[in-house]
Amino acid sequence: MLFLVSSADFISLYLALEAQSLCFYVLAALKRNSEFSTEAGLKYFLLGAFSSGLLLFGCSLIYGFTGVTNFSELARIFTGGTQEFLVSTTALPACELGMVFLLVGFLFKITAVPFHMWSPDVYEGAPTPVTAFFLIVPKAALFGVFLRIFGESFYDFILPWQKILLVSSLASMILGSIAALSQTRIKRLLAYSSIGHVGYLLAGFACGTIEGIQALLIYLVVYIFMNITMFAIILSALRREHLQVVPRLKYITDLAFLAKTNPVLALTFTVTLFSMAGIPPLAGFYSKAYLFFAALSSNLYLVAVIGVLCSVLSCFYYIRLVKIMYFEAPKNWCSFSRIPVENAITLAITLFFILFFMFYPTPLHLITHKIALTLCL
Amino acid sequence: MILFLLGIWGIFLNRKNIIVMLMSIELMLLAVNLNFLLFSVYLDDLIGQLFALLILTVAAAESAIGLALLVVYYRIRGTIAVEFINLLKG
Repeated sequence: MLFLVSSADFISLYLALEAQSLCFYVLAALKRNSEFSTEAGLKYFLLGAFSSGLLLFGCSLIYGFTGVTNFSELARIFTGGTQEFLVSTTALPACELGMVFLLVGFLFKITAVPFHMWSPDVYEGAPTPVTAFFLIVPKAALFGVFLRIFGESFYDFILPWQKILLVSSLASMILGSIAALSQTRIKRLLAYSSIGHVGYLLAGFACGTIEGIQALLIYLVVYIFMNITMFAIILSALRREHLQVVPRLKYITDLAFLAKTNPVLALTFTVTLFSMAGIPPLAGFYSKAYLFFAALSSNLYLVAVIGVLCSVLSCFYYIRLVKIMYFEAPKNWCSFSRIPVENAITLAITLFFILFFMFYPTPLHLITHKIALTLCL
Repeated sequence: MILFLLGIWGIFLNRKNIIVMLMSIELMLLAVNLNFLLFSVYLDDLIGQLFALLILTVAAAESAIGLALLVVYYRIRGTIAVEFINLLKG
Protein backbone atom coordinates (compact mmCIF):
# COMPACT_ATOMS: atom_id res chain seq x y z
CA MET A 1 0.00 0.00 0.00
CA LEU A 2 2.97 2.29 0.38
CA PHE A 3 3.74 1.61 -3.25
CA LEU A 4 0.21 2.60 -4.03
CA VAL A 5 0.35 5.97 -2.37
CA SER A 6 3.70 6.88 -3.86
CA SER A 7 2.84 5.88 -7.41
CA ALA A 8 3.28 8.57 -10.04
CA ASP A 9 2.00 6.78 -13.07
CA PHE A 10 -1.03 4.75 -14.03
CA ILE A 11 1.09 1.67 -14.55
CA SER A 12 2.49 1.64 -11.05
CA LEU A 13 -0.92 2.61 -9.69
CA TYR A 14 -2.56 -0.38 -11.26
CA LEU A 15 0.19 -2.80 -10.30
CA ALA A 16 0.30 -1.66 -6.70
CA LEU A 17 -3.49 -1.64 -6.46
CA GLU A 18 -3.78 -5.15 -7.79
CA ALA A 19 -0.99 -6.45 -5.59
CA GLN A 20 -2.69 -5.00 -2.56
CA SER A 21 -6.14 -6.19 -3.61
CA LEU A 22 -5.01 -9.72 -4.30
CA CYS A 23 -3.73 -9.98 -0.76
CA PHE A 24 -7.01 -8.64 0.53
CA TYR A 25 -9.07 -11.16 -1.42
CA VAL A 26 -7.14 -13.96 0.16
CA LEU A 27 -7.32 -12.39 3.61
CA ALA A 28 -11.08 -12.14 3.43
CA ALA A 29 -11.37 -15.89 2.94
CA LEU A 30 -8.86 -16.73 5.62
CA LYS A 31 -10.99 -19.08 7.67
CA ARG A 32 -11.23 -21.93 5.24
CA ASN A 33 -13.79 -23.92 7.12
CA SER A 34 -16.27 -21.16 7.64
CA GLU A 35 -18.98 -20.66 5.06
CA PHE A 36 -19.25 -16.97 5.82
CA SER A 37 -15.61 -16.34 5.30
CA THR A 38 -15.27 -18.09 1.97
CA GLU A 39 -18.40 -16.46 0.67
CA ALA A 40 -17.11 -13.08 1.76
CA GLY A 41 -13.81 -13.76 0.01
CA LEU A 42 -15.55 -14.74 -3.21
CA LYS A 43 -17.79 -11.70 -3.17
CA TYR A 44 -14.90 -9.41 -2.44
CA PHE A 45 -12.92 -10.95 -5.25
CA LEU A 46 -15.68 -10.43 -7.78
CA LEU A 47 -16.27 -6.89 -6.67
CA GLY A 48 -12.60 -6.01 -6.59
CA ALA A 49 -11.77 -7.55 -9.93
CA PHE A 50 -14.71 -5.83 -11.57
CA SER A 51 -13.72 -2.45 -10.18
CA SER A 52 -10.12 -2.94 -11.23
CA GLY A 53 -11.36 -3.69 -14.71
CA LEU A 54 -13.32 -0.45 -14.78
CA LEU A 55 -10.40 1.54 -13.44
CA LEU A 56 -8.13 0.07 -16.05
CA PHE A 57 -10.57 0.90 -18.81
CA GLY A 58 -10.46 4.50 -17.66
CA CYS A 59 -6.68 4.44 -17.71
CA SER A 60 -6.66 3.03 -21.21
CA LEU A 61 -9.00 5.70 -22.52
CA ILE A 62 -6.92 8.46 -21.01
CA TYR A 63 -3.76 6.92 -22.38
CA GLY A 64 -5.31 6.54 -25.78
CA PHE A 65 -6.35 10.12 -26.10
CA THR A 66 -3.41 11.83 -24.49
CA GLY A 67 -0.54 9.44 -25.03
CA VAL A 68 0.92 9.62 -21.52
CA THR A 69 0.29 7.76 -18.31
CA ASN A 70 2.36 9.82 -15.93
CA PHE A 71 0.43 12.00 -13.50
CA SER A 72 2.55 15.10 -13.73
CA GLU A 73 2.69 14.95 -17.49
CA LEU A 74 -1.06 14.59 -17.55
CA ALA A 75 -1.24 17.66 -15.35
CA ARG A 76 0.90 19.54 -17.81
CA ILE A 77 -1.19 18.43 -20.74
CA PHE A 78 -4.51 19.27 -19.22
CA THR A 79 -3.51 22.69 -18.06
CA GLY A 80 -2.18 23.41 -21.52
CA GLY A 81 1.32 24.20 -20.33
CA THR A 82 3.48 22.51 -22.91
CA GLN A 83 3.53 23.41 -26.55
CA GLU A 84 4.01 19.97 -28.00
CA PHE A 85 1.03 18.27 -26.55
CA LEU A 86 -2.10 20.28 -26.68
CA VAL A 87 -5.08 18.03 -26.43
CA SER A 88 -7.33 18.56 -29.38
CA THR A 89 -10.87 19.49 -28.54
CA THR A 90 -12.29 16.33 -29.99
CA ALA A 91 -10.33 14.30 -27.49
CA LEU A 92 -11.54 16.05 -24.39
CA PRO A 93 -14.88 14.23 -23.97
CA ALA A 94 -13.06 10.92 -24.25
CA CYS A 95 -10.66 11.99 -21.55
CA GLU A 96 -13.58 12.95 -19.39
CA LEU A 97 -15.13 9.56 -19.99
CA GLY A 98 -11.89 7.90 -19.02
CA MET A 99 -11.78 10.00 -15.89
CA VAL A 100 -15.35 9.01 -15.04
CA PHE A 101 -14.46 5.33 -15.35
CA LEU A 102 -11.43 5.90 -13.15
CA LEU A 103 -13.59 7.62 -10.57
CA VAL A 104 -16.17 4.84 -10.67
CA GLY A 105 -13.50 2.22 -10.10
CA PHE A 106 -12.22 4.25 -7.18
CA LEU A 107 -15.68 4.61 -5.67
CA PHE A 108 -16.18 0.86 -5.90
CA LYS A 109 -13.06 0.24 -3.91
CA ILE A 110 -13.89 2.87 -1.31
CA THR A 111 -17.37 1.33 -0.93
CA ALA A 112 -19.15 4.57 -1.63
CA VAL A 113 -22.80 4.45 -2.32
CA PRO A 114 -23.97 3.56 -5.73
CA PHE A 115 -21.34 0.84 -5.66
CA HIS A 116 -21.33 -0.44 -2.13
CA MET A 117 -23.46 -3.50 -2.78
CA TRP A 118 -21.42 -6.30 -1.41
CA SER A 119 -19.28 -4.52 1.09
CA PRO A 120 -21.43 -5.06 4.21
CA ASP A 121 -21.52 -8.75 3.34
CA VAL A 122 -17.77 -8.84 2.93
CA TYR A 123 -17.13 -6.97 6.15
CA GLU A 124 -19.41 -9.21 8.06
CA GLY A 125 -18.17 -12.51 6.72
CA ALA A 126 -14.48 -11.89 6.99
CA PRO A 127 -12.77 -12.78 10.26
CA THR A 128 -12.89 -9.81 12.64
CA PRO A 129 -9.23 -8.74 12.67
CA VAL A 130 -9.32 -8.85 8.87
CA THR A 131 -12.43 -6.68 8.83
CA ALA A 132 -10.62 -4.16 10.99
CA PHE A 133 -7.82 -4.15 8.46
CA PHE A 134 -10.27 -3.76 5.57
CA LEU A 135 -12.09 -0.87 7.07
CA ILE A 136 -8.98 1.16 7.56
CA VAL A 137 -6.23 0.33 5.12
CA PRO A 138 -7.71 0.29 1.60
CA LYS A 139 -9.64 3.44 2.25
CA ALA A 140 -6.66 5.37 3.54
CA ALA A 141 -4.36 4.18 0.76
CA LEU A 142 -6.87 4.77 -2.00
CA PHE A 143 -7.79 8.20 -0.74
CA GLY A 144 -4.13 9.07 -0.68
CA VAL A 145 -3.49 8.07 -4.24
CA PHE A 146 -6.68 9.45 -5.66
CA LEU A 147 -6.17 12.77 -3.94
CA ARG A 148 -2.94 12.94 -5.87
CA ILE A 149 -4.51 12.00 -9.17
CA PHE A 150 -7.47 14.27 -8.95
CA GLY A 151 -5.70 17.12 -7.24
CA GLU A 152 -2.83 17.11 -9.64
CA SER A 153 -3.79 15.82 -13.04
CA PHE A 154 -7.51 16.22 -13.33
CA TYR A 155 -8.03 19.42 -11.48
CA ASP A 156 -9.13 21.25 -14.59
CA PHE A 157 -11.93 18.85 -15.13
CA ILE A 158 -13.25 19.56 -11.69
CA LEU A 159 -16.82 20.23 -12.77
CA PRO A 160 -17.75 16.70 -13.84
CA TRP A 161 -15.99 14.88 -11.10
CA GLN A 162 -17.09 17.25 -8.42
CA LYS A 163 -20.68 16.57 -9.36
CA ILE A 164 -20.19 12.82 -9.32
CA LEU A 165 -18.42 12.97 -6.00
CA LEU A 166 -21.10 15.19 -4.51
CA VAL A 167 -23.88 12.86 -5.53
CA SER A 168 -21.99 9.87 -4.27
CA SER A 169 -21.14 11.51 -0.98
CA LEU A 170 -24.71 12.64 -0.33
CA ALA A 171 -26.04 9.20 -1.13
CA SER A 172 -23.40 7.56 1.04
CA MET A 173 -24.18 9.74 4.01
CA ILE A 174 -27.90 9.16 3.71
CA LEU A 175 -27.66 5.45 3.10
CA GLY A 176 -25.01 4.95 5.75
CA SER A 177 -27.21 6.43 8.41
CA ILE A 178 -30.53 4.96 7.33
CA ALA A 179 -29.45 1.43 6.57
CA ALA A 180 -27.60 1.07 9.82
CA LEU A 181 -30.72 1.72 11.81
CA SER A 182 -32.07 -1.76 11.33
CA GLN A 183 -28.95 -3.82 11.81
CA THR A 184 -28.65 -6.31 14.59
CA ARG A 185 -25.13 -7.49 14.02
CA ILE A 186 -22.18 -5.46 15.09
CA LYS A 187 -19.92 -5.90 12.11
CA ARG A 188 -22.67 -5.05 9.69
CA LEU A 189 -23.48 -1.98 11.71
CA LEU A 190 -19.88 -0.92 11.53
CA ALA A 191 -19.82 -1.58 7.80
CA TYR A 192 -22.78 0.70 7.20
CA SER A 193 -21.42 3.33 9.53
CA SER A 194 -18.16 3.26 7.62
CA ILE A 195 -20.13 3.83 4.42
CA GLY A 196 -21.52 6.92 6.11
CA HIS A 197 -18.04 8.05 7.10
CA VAL A 198 -16.88 7.57 3.53
CA GLY A 199 -19.71 9.87 2.52
CA TYR A 200 -18.27 12.58 4.72
CA LEU A 201 -14.79 11.98 3.37
CA LEU A 202 -16.00 12.28 -0.20
CA ALA A 203 -17.70 15.54 0.67
CA GLY A 204 -14.34 16.88 1.78
CA PHE A 205 -12.79 15.60 -1.42
CA ALA A 206 -15.47 17.23 -3.55
CA CYS A 207 -14.69 20.67 -2.17
CA GLY A 208 -11.62 20.97 -4.30
CA THR A 209 -10.01 23.52 -2.03
CA ILE A 210 -7.04 23.18 0.26
CA GLU A 211 -9.30 23.31 3.29
CA GLY A 212 -11.35 20.49 1.84
CA ILE A 213 -8.34 18.26 1.43
CA GLN A 214 -7.07 19.17 4.86
CA ALA A 215 -10.46 18.40 6.38
CA LEU A 216 -10.47 15.09 4.57
CA LEU A 217 -7.07 14.16 5.94
CA ILE A 218 -7.95 15.12 9.51
CA TYR A 219 -11.17 13.15 9.26
CA LEU A 220 -9.27 10.19 7.86
CA VAL A 221 -6.81 10.15 10.73
CA VAL A 222 -9.55 10.44 13.33
CA TYR A 223 -11.55 7.77 11.52
CA ILE A 224 -8.56 5.43 11.65
CA PHE A 225 -8.16 5.96 15.36
CA MET A 226 -11.85 5.47 16.06
CA ASN A 227 -11.97 2.28 14.09
CA ILE A 228 -8.89 0.89 15.78
CA THR A 229 -10.57 1.54 19.11
CA MET A 230 -13.83 -0.04 18.03
CA PHE A 231 -12.20 -3.16 16.81
CA ALA A 232 -9.92 -3.45 19.78
CA ILE A 233 -13.02 -3.45 21.93
CA ILE A 234 -14.89 -5.93 19.77
CA LEU A 235 -11.95 -8.25 19.58
CA SER A 236 -11.34 -8.14 23.28
CA ALA A 237 -14.79 -9.01 24.47
CA LEU A 238 -14.08 -12.53 25.52
CA ARG A 239 -16.90 -14.60 26.75
CA ARG A 240 -16.82 -17.50 29.04
CA GLU A 241 -18.89 -20.33 27.62
CA HIS A 242 -18.87 -23.86 28.86
CA LEU A 243 -15.68 -23.42 30.82
CA GLN A 244 -13.89 -21.99 27.80
CA VAL A 245 -12.88 -18.45 27.06
CA VAL A 246 -14.17 -17.70 23.59
CA PRO A 247 -13.74 -14.43 21.68
CA ARG A 248 -17.08 -13.88 20.05
CA LEU A 249 -19.24 -10.84 19.68
CA LYS A 250 -21.68 -11.07 16.85
CA TYR A 251 -25.02 -9.54 17.69
CA ILE A 252 -25.62 -6.18 19.24
CA THR A 253 -27.48 -7.75 22.10
CA ASP A 254 -24.36 -9.69 23.00
CA LEU A 255 -23.07 -6.47 24.40
CA ALA A 256 -25.86 -6.32 26.92
CA PHE A 257 -25.01 -5.40 30.46
CA LEU A 258 -21.40 -4.76 29.75
CA ALA A 259 -21.63 -1.96 32.25
CA LYS A 260 -21.81 -4.34 35.12
CA THR A 261 -19.43 -7.03 33.97
CA ASN A 262 -16.65 -4.81 32.69
CA PRO A 263 -17.34 -1.16 33.45
CA VAL A 264 -14.08 0.24 32.08
CA LEU A 265 -14.62 -1.47 28.75
CA ALA A 266 -18.14 -0.16 28.66
CA LEU A 267 -16.93 3.35 29.34
CA THR A 268 -14.34 3.11 26.59
CA PHE A 269 -16.90 1.85 24.18
CA THR A 270 -19.24 4.66 25.10
CA VAL A 271 -16.61 7.30 24.50
CA THR A 272 -15.73 5.79 21.15
CA LEU A 273 -19.33 5.65 20.06
CA PHE A 274 -19.88 9.22 21.05
CA SER A 275 -16.85 10.20 19.06
CA MET A 276 -18.14 8.37 16.01
CA ALA A 277 -21.46 10.11 16.39
CA GLY A 278 -19.75 13.47 16.56
CA ILE A 279 -20.53 14.63 20.06
CA PRO A 280 -18.64 17.70 21.24
CA PRO A 281 -15.59 17.44 23.23
CA LEU A 282 -14.35 14.42 21.33
CA ALA A 283 -12.21 14.01 18.24
CA GLY A 284 -15.05 12.96 15.97
CA PHE A 285 -16.84 16.22 16.52
CA TYR A 286 -13.80 18.29 15.71
CA SER A 287 -13.11 16.49 12.46
CA LYS A 288 -16.74 16.63 11.36
CA ALA A 289 -17.02 20.30 12.25
CA TYR A 290 -13.91 21.12 10.28
CA LEU A 291 -15.24 19.17 7.34
CA PHE A 292 -18.52 21.05 7.39
CA PHE A 293 -16.73 24.38 7.65
CA ALA A 294 -14.66 23.47 4.61
CA ALA A 295 -17.77 22.44 2.71
CA LEU A 296 -19.54 25.66 3.59
CA SER A 297 -16.60 27.77 2.58
CA SER A 298 -16.67 26.30 -0.91
CA ASN A 299 -20.39 26.88 -1.26
CA LEU A 300 -21.53 23.28 -0.87
CA TYR A 301 -24.42 24.18 1.36
CA LEU A 302 -26.59 21.16 0.61
CA VAL A 303 -23.80 18.81 1.57
CA ALA A 304 -23.27 20.49 4.90
CA VAL A 305 -26.95 20.50 5.76
CA ILE A 306 -27.53 16.91 4.80
CA GLY A 307 -24.31 15.95 6.52
CA VAL A 308 -25.50 17.41 9.77
CA LEU A 309 -28.89 15.72 9.45
CA CYS A 310 -27.31 12.35 8.74
CA SER A 311 -25.00 12.85 11.65
CA VAL A 312 -28.02 13.23 13.86
CA LEU A 313 -29.55 10.10 12.42
CA SER A 314 -26.42 8.12 12.99
CA CYS A 315 -26.36 9.30 16.59
CA PHE A 316 -29.39 7.14 17.10
CA TYR A 317 -27.84 3.84 16.38
CA TYR A 318 -24.61 4.63 18.16
CA ILE A 319 -26.47 5.63 21.28
CA ARG A 320 -28.63 2.56 20.99
CA LEU A 321 -25.48 0.52 21.55
CA VAL A 322 -24.81 2.53 24.67
CA LYS A 323 -28.33 1.89 25.86
CA ILE A 324 -27.96 -1.82 25.31
CA MET A 325 -24.76 -1.85 27.24
CA TYR A 326 -26.05 0.02 30.20
CA PHE A 327 -29.72 -0.62 30.49
CA GLU A 328 -30.67 -3.94 29.05
CA ALA A 329 -30.71 -7.27 30.78
CA PRO A 330 -29.43 -9.94 28.43
CA LYS A 331 -31.47 -12.97 27.50
CA ASN A 332 -28.64 -15.38 28.07
CA TRP A 333 -26.23 -14.41 30.74
CA CYS A 334 -22.68 -14.76 29.53
CA SER A 335 -19.88 -13.45 31.61
CA PHE A 336 -17.01 -11.56 30.10
CA SER A 337 -13.52 -12.31 31.23
CA ARG A 338 -10.60 -9.93 31.38
CA ILE A 339 -9.39 -8.46 28.13
CA PRO A 340 -5.90 -9.29 26.88
CA VAL A 341 -3.07 -6.89 27.65
CA GLU A 342 -2.28 -5.88 24.08
CA ASN A 343 -5.83 -4.81 23.51
CA ALA A 344 -5.78 -2.85 26.71
CA ILE A 345 -2.72 -0.88 25.71
CA THR A 346 -4.09 -0.17 22.23
CA LEU A 347 -7.34 0.95 23.71
CA ALA A 348 -5.58 3.22 26.15
CA ILE A 349 -3.56 4.96 23.47
CA THR A 350 -6.40 5.49 21.05
CA LEU A 351 -8.82 6.51 23.74
CA PHE A 352 -6.34 9.07 24.95
CA PHE A 353 -6.16 10.46 21.43
CA ILE A 354 -9.92 10.60 21.05
CA LEU A 355 -10.48 12.30 24.37
CA PHE A 356 -7.81 14.91 24.20
CA PHE A 357 -7.58 15.69 20.53
CA MET A 358 -9.93 18.59 21.00
CA PHE A 359 -7.57 20.37 23.33
CA TYR A 360 -4.46 20.07 21.25
CA PRO A 361 -5.23 19.56 17.59
CA THR A 362 -2.35 21.68 16.38
CA PRO A 363 0.20 19.05 15.34
CA LEU A 364 -2.26 17.13 13.23
CA HIS A 365 -3.62 20.35 11.83
CA LEU A 366 -0.20 21.55 10.75
CA ILE A 367 0.80 18.24 9.25
CA THR A 368 -2.35 17.90 7.22
CA HIS A 369 -2.09 21.50 6.06
CA LYS A 370 1.38 20.84 4.77
CA ILE A 371 0.21 17.66 3.06
CA ALA A 372 -2.70 19.44 1.45
CA LEU A 373 -0.42 22.20 0.19
CA THR A 374 2.05 19.80 -1.33
CA LEU A 375 -0.76 17.92 -3.00
CA CYS A 376 -2.08 21.01 -4.63
CA LEU A 377 1.12 22.68 -5.70
CA MET B 1 -14.54 -1.66 -26.33
CA ILE B 2 -17.44 -3.80 -27.42
CA LEU B 3 -15.65 -6.70 -25.81
CA PHE B 4 -15.51 -4.73 -22.61
CA LEU B 5 -19.21 -4.04 -22.66
CA LEU B 6 -19.86 -7.69 -23.44
CA GLY B 7 -17.86 -8.63 -20.40
CA ILE B 8 -19.82 -6.30 -18.14
CA TRP B 9 -23.06 -7.53 -19.58
CA GLY B 10 -21.97 -11.09 -19.01
CA ILE B 11 -21.45 -10.46 -15.33
CA PHE B 12 -24.87 -9.03 -14.86
CA LEU B 13 -26.83 -11.45 -16.97
CA ASN B 14 -25.35 -14.44 -15.27
CA ARG B 15 -27.85 -16.62 -13.47
CA LYS B 16 -26.12 -19.88 -13.22
CA ASN B 17 -22.47 -20.06 -12.64
CA ILE B 18 -19.69 -18.28 -10.91
CA ILE B 19 -17.21 -19.57 -13.44
CA VAL B 20 -19.06 -17.57 -16.06
CA MET B 21 -18.58 -14.50 -13.89
CA LEU B 22 -14.89 -15.14 -13.62
CA MET B 23 -14.66 -15.58 -17.36
CA SER B 24 -16.47 -12.31 -17.90
CA ILE B 25 -14.03 -10.51 -15.65
CA GLU B 26 -11.15 -11.98 -17.57
CA LEU B 27 -12.86 -10.91 -20.78
CA MET B 28 -13.08 -7.38 -19.49
CA LEU B 29 -9.43 -7.25 -18.61
CA LEU B 30 -8.49 -8.69 -21.98
CA ALA B 31 -10.61 -6.13 -23.76
CA VAL B 32 -8.82 -3.36 -21.89
CA ASN B 33 -5.55 -4.92 -22.94
CA LEU B 34 -6.61 -4.86 -26.54
CA ASN B 35 -7.61 -1.25 -26.17
CA PHE B 36 -4.19 -0.39 -24.87
CA LEU B 37 -2.42 -2.20 -27.65
CA LEU B 38 -4.50 -0.53 -30.32
CA PHE B 39 -3.89 2.89 -28.86
CA SER B 40 -0.21 2.29 -28.61
CA VAL B 41 0.04 1.21 -32.20
CA TYR B 42 -1.90 4.27 -33.26
CA LEU B 43 0.18 6.64 -31.17
CA ASP B 44 3.45 4.91 -32.03
CA ASP B 45 4.33 4.82 -28.37
CA LEU B 46 5.87 1.90 -26.50
CA ILE B 47 4.34 2.56 -23.10
CA GLY B 48 0.99 1.14 -24.12
CA GLN B 49 2.51 -2.18 -25.05
CA LEU B 50 4.51 -2.28 -21.85
CA PHE B 51 1.43 -1.59 -19.81
CA ALA B 52 -0.52 -4.24 -21.71
CA LEU B 53 2.14 -6.82 -20.92
CA LEU B 54 2.05 -5.97 -17.24
CA ILE B 55 -1.74 -6.05 -17.16
CA LEU B 56 -1.66 -9.49 -18.71
CA THR B 57 0.62 -10.71 -15.95
CA VAL B 58 -1.57 -9.28 -13.23
CA ALA B 59 -4.72 -10.65 -14.81
CA ALA B 60 -3.20 -14.11 -14.83
CA ALA B 61 -2.33 -13.88 -11.14
CA GLU B 62 -5.76 -12.57 -10.34
CA SER B 63 -7.56 -15.35 -12.15
CA ALA B 64 -5.40 -17.84 -10.31
CA ILE B 65 -6.46 -16.41 -6.98
CA GLY B 66 -10.06 -16.23 -8.13
CA LEU B 67 -10.08 -19.88 -9.03
CA ALA B 68 -8.44 -20.79 -5.75
CA LEU B 69 -11.15 -18.89 -3.89
CA LEU B 70 -13.76 -20.68 -5.96
CA VAL B 71 -12.28 -24.04 -5.06
CA VAL B 72 -12.32 -23.23 -1.36
CA TYR B 73 -15.88 -22.05 -1.63
CA TYR B 74 -16.94 -25.17 -3.48
CA ARG B 75 -15.36 -27.38 -0.88
CA ILE B 76 -17.57 -25.83 1.77
CA ARG B 77 -20.77 -25.27 -0.11
CA GLY B 78 -20.81 -27.98 -2.71
CA THR B 79 -22.39 -25.81 -5.35
CA ILE B 80 -21.41 -22.88 -7.48
CA ALA B 81 -24.80 -21.67 -8.56
CA VAL B 82 -25.20 -17.97 -8.11
CA GLU B 83 -28.48 -18.07 -6.23
CA PHE B 84 -27.00 -19.93 -3.29
CA ILE B 85 -24.63 -17.12 -2.42
CA ASN B 86 -27.02 -15.52 -0.03
CA LEU B 87 -25.76 -16.51 3.37
CA LEU B 88 -24.81 -13.01 4.27
CA LYS B 89 -28.03 -11.33 3.26
CA GLY B 90 -29.40 -8.25 4.90
